[in-house]
Amino acid sequence: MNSETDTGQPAVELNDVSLVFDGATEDDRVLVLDSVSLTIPAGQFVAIVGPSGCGKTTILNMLAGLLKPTAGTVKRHGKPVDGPTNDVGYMMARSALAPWRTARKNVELGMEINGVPRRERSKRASELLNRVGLSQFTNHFPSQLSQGMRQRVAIARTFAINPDLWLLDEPFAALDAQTRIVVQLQFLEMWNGTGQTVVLVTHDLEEATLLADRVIVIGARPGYVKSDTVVDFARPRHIDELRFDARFTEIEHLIWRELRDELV
Amino acid sequence: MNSYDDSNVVSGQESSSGLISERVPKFDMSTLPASKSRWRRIVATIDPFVQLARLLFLVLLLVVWKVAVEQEWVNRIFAATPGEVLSGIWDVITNKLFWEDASVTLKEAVVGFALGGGSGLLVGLITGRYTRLGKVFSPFLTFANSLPKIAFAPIFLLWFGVGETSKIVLSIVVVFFIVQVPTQAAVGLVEPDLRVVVDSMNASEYQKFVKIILPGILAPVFGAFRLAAIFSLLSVVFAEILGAKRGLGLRLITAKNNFNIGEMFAYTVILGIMALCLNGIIGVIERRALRWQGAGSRGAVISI
Repeated sequence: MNSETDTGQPAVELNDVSLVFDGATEDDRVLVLDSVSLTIPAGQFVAIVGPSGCGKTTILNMLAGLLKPTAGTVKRHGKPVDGPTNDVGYMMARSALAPWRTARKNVELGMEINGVPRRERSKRASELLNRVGLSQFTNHFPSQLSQGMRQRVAIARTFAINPDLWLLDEPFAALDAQTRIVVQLQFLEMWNGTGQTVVLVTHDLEEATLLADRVIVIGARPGYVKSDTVVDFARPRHIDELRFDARFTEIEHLIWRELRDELV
Repeated sequence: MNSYDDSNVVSGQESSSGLISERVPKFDMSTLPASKSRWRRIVATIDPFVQLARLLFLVLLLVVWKVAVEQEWVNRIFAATPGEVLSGIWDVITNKLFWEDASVTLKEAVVGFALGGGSGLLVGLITGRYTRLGKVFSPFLTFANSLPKIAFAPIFLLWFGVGETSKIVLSIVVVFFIVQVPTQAAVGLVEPDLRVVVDSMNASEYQKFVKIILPGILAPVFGAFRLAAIFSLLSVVFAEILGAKRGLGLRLITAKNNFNIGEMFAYTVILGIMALCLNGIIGVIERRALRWQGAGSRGAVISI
């Protein structure tokens, strides 16, 4: 957490947030989110699970300042969100790399936008690519990299801007089972101890329980906070082993029972 | 499998060394023969059958052509054999005046391409980026694009005279739409996920334009440029045929009027070669600018 943003206020605060997608007529209006309230202290890793179309991504877009709520307030560190800021790291299922940029240049993208000098950019990009295990591929284009490698470049790109808040929209969903574990591990390794706040949207309950400090279940449309479960395993977590832990299974089962009723 | 204890928890400081094997391979790659030189690799891709079949087909075309002329399928006065065309080409290119006319035509085509392509790119970028503005102009642009633009050649001749200007203007009008339409479409298709990412990074309009949109539309824009180069040459030659002081179109129609059909066809072949060259030059620039596109298809995809 950056000292300048450490105001003692929660990193993220949604207060009675409702969102309506406008339609052609009044009948076409859709209530996407219904009075969602959610407070996330700085440095917490929160996972949001819920059925398709429950408004999970919408919550991320509002936190990113890309979307405004119809009613209620969205605050970060006590200040209302009114547009994108350069301290938010947004990651999606597809790596969304620029195909015309090499791995290194992709990692530099956010730093370029923030006006980081060339030397420093290059140094930090090398360092981050090294940390995600891609030091040999800095000059490769995305088309020359596997899905897992591309997603690791995307992680490096997001770390490069040193975000205060991570918004992860199913970033591991497009990876095969083994690559997913590797990339999840790598993300956790790098995030651990940074004090950065993470909001992860996922369909994968196991992933949510493994990675997060708290799992929020969002009920089916209109989305509302159905349950809020604390997952209190110590960090750093050994997620490749934790998934076989009995208490882990218990917690996952508990959340599953909340989620099950929402899937139709 | 290790027991689950904290002693080997990977800390945030370490690299991912635990995930990447440090084992030394048994197979020694230095025992492999040296890889083929670049030249030999190119030679290896040549398929003798394809080359031979091409040659045979070319011979067949020339024979049919020669027979058609000699059997007088069309009036012999208005026809020329392959040999007559070949000697026509020789006569033409050994004449000093030809090179002056060729440079006039080339200059008109290049200037028309540059101005028409440049303005097409600019307008396409604006109408693609600012969709409301695009909507305002869309019916006008669509209708103008539907007009047979080549039919404006006679009126341009009256407006701008028989000199080079009328040719350049016709080329601009033709080339503009060839570039503007795909540019506008391409702007809307640039990697939507990437745009969300740069939006969330709070990039300025200028940064989004330079870092994302411009490189993102290059592939379709270059496709349009290549087509536009050929159509630019086509337009100026057509305008020259209608009336000009200098230029290959003028030479071509003069040869026809003199019943010098061999020479007339010689000009069409030469113009074809010129169009190929223009296309090739743009192709070379395109391959340099779009180096990343071929990167995956050269067998260099890495997977872990």
